[in-house]
Amino acid sequence: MTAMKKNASRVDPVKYLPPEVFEKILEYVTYPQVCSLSSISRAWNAAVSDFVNNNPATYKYLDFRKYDLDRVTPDLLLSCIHKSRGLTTSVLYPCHSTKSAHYGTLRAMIFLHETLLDKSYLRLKNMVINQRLRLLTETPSTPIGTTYQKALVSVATANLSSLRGLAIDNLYFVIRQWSESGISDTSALDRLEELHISAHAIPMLFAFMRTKRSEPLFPNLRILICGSDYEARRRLEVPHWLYGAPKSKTLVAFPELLEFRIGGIPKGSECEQDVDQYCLNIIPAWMPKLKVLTCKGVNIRPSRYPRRDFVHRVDMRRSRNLVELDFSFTKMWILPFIPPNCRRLVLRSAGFGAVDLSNCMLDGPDVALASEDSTDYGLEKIHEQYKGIEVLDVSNCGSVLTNSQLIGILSLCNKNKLTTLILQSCLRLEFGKYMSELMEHIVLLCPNLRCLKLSKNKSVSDGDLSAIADLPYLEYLDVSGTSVSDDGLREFFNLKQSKLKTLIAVGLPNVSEKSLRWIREMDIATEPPTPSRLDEEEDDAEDQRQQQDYV
Amino acid sequence: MIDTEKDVAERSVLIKNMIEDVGDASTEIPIPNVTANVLKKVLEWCEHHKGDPIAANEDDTDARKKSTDIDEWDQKFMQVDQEMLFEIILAANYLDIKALLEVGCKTVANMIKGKTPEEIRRTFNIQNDFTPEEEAQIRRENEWAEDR
Repeated sequence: MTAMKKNASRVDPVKYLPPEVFEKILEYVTYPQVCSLSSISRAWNAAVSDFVNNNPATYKYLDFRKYDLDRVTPDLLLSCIHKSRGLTTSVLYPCHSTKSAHYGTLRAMIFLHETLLDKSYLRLKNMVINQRLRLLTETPSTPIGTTYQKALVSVATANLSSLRGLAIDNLYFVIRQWSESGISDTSALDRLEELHISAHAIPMLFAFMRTKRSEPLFPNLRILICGSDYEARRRLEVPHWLYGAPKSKTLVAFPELLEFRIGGIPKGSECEQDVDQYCLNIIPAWMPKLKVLTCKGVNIRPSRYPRRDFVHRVDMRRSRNLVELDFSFTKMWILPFIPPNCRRLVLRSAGFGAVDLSNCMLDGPDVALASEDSTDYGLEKIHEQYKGIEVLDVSNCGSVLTNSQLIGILSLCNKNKLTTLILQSCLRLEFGKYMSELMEHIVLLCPNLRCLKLSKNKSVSDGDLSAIADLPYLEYLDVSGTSVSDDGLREFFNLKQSKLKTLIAVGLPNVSEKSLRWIREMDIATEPPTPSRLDEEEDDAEDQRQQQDYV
Repeated sequence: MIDTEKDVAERSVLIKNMIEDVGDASTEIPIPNVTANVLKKVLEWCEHHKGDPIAANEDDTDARKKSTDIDEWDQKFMQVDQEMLFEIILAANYLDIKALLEVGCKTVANMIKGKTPEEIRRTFNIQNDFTPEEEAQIRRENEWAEDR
């Protein structure tokens, strides 16, 4: 009896409601689930296919991120696409978070992409072709291997003429295909504006360009991002089949490139990616319009096969358009040659290998730096490169940056231009000693500082504060985690600080709350306005922004 | 016959048009196709929502479309048996009360969301009338969409 009653209140909506009302319900259900509804009954199957056919515009994009891509075979995918006739997808998230992918999926994605219109992004981020497939690609006689190669070649060449952005990990195979099949017509990639590849593909891509190309591969590329990736720890040499004489001496490989990013945020401060120094030194010639170069967490090592005129130093001097240079978390042998118009130089947690700038103090920095290749560039020229820098960030360079090295770098900069100096956690800097000698040098060398961050340097003490008081334009000072005391702060303010608006003073064991209150009463902020974001968060935000762009 | 205020009844576009045709709000308006039971329930909803602004036009924003969030009062209101729920949806459709129709459809969509086909069959007491072969075929086609 109760069972009957229970059933009586259960009604099949497809039978009860007219089709137009039932379709209103389906509008609130996600596309993958709408598809799955067709297996409920014949009536539902009919209703669902009517709905999908009547509403081609309902699904603006397909999101495959949640699904196990090994189970998405091309035929299934295509049947699902056929069901959503007229899909005007501008976004395709095939495998954002999946760690493995079926070769067929890739092929299907490409097919799918061909059927899509207008501005489209094919996003194969985080796509790792598993070991099985790699083995197969090495024996191309097997049918699966052939299909996979075909798929990659079609990524590389034809059929993708509408593609504007491409993210692909396996550029290795693509380049190999290009190289071995002697592909010359890559005109389909002409419209590509954004390319994301894995960092280890960089030496290879560049070597391929050098030896096989006489004209640019991506003539309209604006942004090239080479993230740190799953194989980041693997040291990837340029393969032997890519060695050879340059095909063209006048190649401008990336004529439109504005932004070039290598590497990501490594775990800890270990450098996880090796990049051939040659790759960086070719930038001025190959990327004449480059504005921003970010080289994070990479180990820039000398080229294994140096050219005759090779200088063991990253050389950006001929990049006249480059204004932002970021070498955070990066290991290099010696300070880079900076482009002449550089305004922002970030060397956070950077490690300098074999450089010894300890003679700077005695002989002047010019001598130490110039001795290396003084034949080519005179003293003035070396001076030139640091002239435009306004922001210098060397925070966390704890283990390498010494007093004399910092002073060496600062003496290269233009006294009047440098306005921001960030020295967080530079543990080897010795403040406070010898009558605050270091701080007095900084004050002398950078009289126009607006912003100075000294946080987490325990050696900073009261004597340094009184030296800082001589900076007339200082607006922002961060002394968190240092050993300044109440007396030091009082004296600092007595010495005159008219322009100071912010004094970050968090975590000071020798300073009482009373002094802080006294400072705040002068309308000076003592807490950071917003907690500084971690780099990972920045990356997340970046990722979100990109996704929004795609939508 | 049910008494109600003019502005409550005018949540329904159909009734609003009828009142305008008749020109007198105090007259009786016949509503065939809707039982008194259901109509009472519908008017209860209209009473509660009489102050709400009426959505101006068809222009459906994507944000509203995608979300199946329902406000608390409406959720309680929709806690009725399935037959009543569908009757309310039908009445809202017939009387042209857009917001109520939306709430009804969302309620049903929430009953479907995240359920497997088998669970949905149980929810609505649906007979699986496929042959095993047919079912296997359709299953295979849609296997990719099954969330794990």
